[in-house]
Amino acid sequence: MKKFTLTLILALLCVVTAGCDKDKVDVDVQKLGDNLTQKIKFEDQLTQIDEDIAKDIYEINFEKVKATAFIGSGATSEELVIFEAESKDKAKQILTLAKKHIEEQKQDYESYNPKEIKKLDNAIVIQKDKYVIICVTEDVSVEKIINNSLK
Amino acid sequence: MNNYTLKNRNQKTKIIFYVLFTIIIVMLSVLFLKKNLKSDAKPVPSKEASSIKTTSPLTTKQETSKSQTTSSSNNYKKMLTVPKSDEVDNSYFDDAIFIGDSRTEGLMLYTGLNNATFYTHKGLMVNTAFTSPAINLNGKKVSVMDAVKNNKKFSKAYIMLGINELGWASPNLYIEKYSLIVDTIKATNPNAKIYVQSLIPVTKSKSSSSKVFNNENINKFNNYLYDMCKEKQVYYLNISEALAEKNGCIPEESAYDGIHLKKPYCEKWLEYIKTHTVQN
Repeated sequence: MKKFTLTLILALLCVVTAGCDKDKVDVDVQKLGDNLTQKIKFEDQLTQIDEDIAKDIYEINFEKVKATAFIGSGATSEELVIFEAESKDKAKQILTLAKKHIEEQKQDYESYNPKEIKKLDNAIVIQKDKYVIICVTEDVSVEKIINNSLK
Repeated sequence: MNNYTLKNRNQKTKIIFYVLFTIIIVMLSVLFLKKNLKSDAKPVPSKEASSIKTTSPLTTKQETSKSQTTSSSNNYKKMLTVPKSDEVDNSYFDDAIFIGDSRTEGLMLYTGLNNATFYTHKGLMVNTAFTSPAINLNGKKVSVMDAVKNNKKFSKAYIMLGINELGWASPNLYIEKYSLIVDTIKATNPNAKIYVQSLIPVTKSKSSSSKVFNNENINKFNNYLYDMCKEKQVYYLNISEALAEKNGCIPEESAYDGIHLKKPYCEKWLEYIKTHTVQN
């Protein structure tokens, strides 16, 4: 009886832990974007841009990608962009494109406005499940804010 | 009164009648011709006027083409600084290209005009438009003008370049390179309408604090652009009209750093473009 109970408890534990995907995230990208622009400090005034333009900028040409993007005025490199892909694998592809975008921004700003290079060097480019978040800012608590918002 | 006297009298009356009739006909013809001459846009010098008057309706081919050239040249002069027109909708820009620097990038980002083709790059200048690999074309980075040359489908080209060149020692070089951009567009698509946009002013605070980015320099550059447009027979879009206040500066609240326009002012800019087009 004891052995049976123990086995049953272990089996239940296995089932429970298997069902729990710690990395699983499910958010509304627009609400997340609105939330983050309120909490993260930006030097520039960020403005939301069209989803399709955001995808063009990041050269994302596959389907079923949602985007919420806030871009600075052009005087700075500041931005906050959130992509939601169809799957984790697609998000991984977006992550690669996002890193490429940041590198290109560094090349552009090197001659255009070198003051921005520090922000771009510290840019947040992360993947959480099927989401990719890019943030360029001077705010040092940006990573903590983003992680807290995704819990 | 004898018959002879009566006959004479009748003849005299007839002669007087015919003369009066002829005078009236001639006067009416003169009036009619004067009215037609007045409807031409440009006042015709008297020498030409007399030649037009005396020319028969079946003019020579040379005279016809000369009058057509004069007429189209007159029409261009009327439209050099594009006047206000009926507003077009965004679909008008389906076959439009925009060439510019970070300010034009703002126009693209903030107005949602995603049906037009934007060849823009931060810091773009009239010389780097030919040399700097800035535009993604089939997976490869090419210069703005190479991208333009590769595009045969546009029918309107809007250009705004110059804010990054304000500090150049030689405005002649600026116009020389700008002219090359215009020539390249013409060679790529001879029928495209080319709109050279005036440089948008900066804010008062920016203008008074910068030796380079100030409205005195911007006004000088705009004069150079206007003269270039006249020479090249392309259109000049006076964007400043839409955005500047009476003091010639853009409002302080319109630009974060005094230069780069915020969304509402990019929208005003687009509004101006949509209400200043050359239809024919």
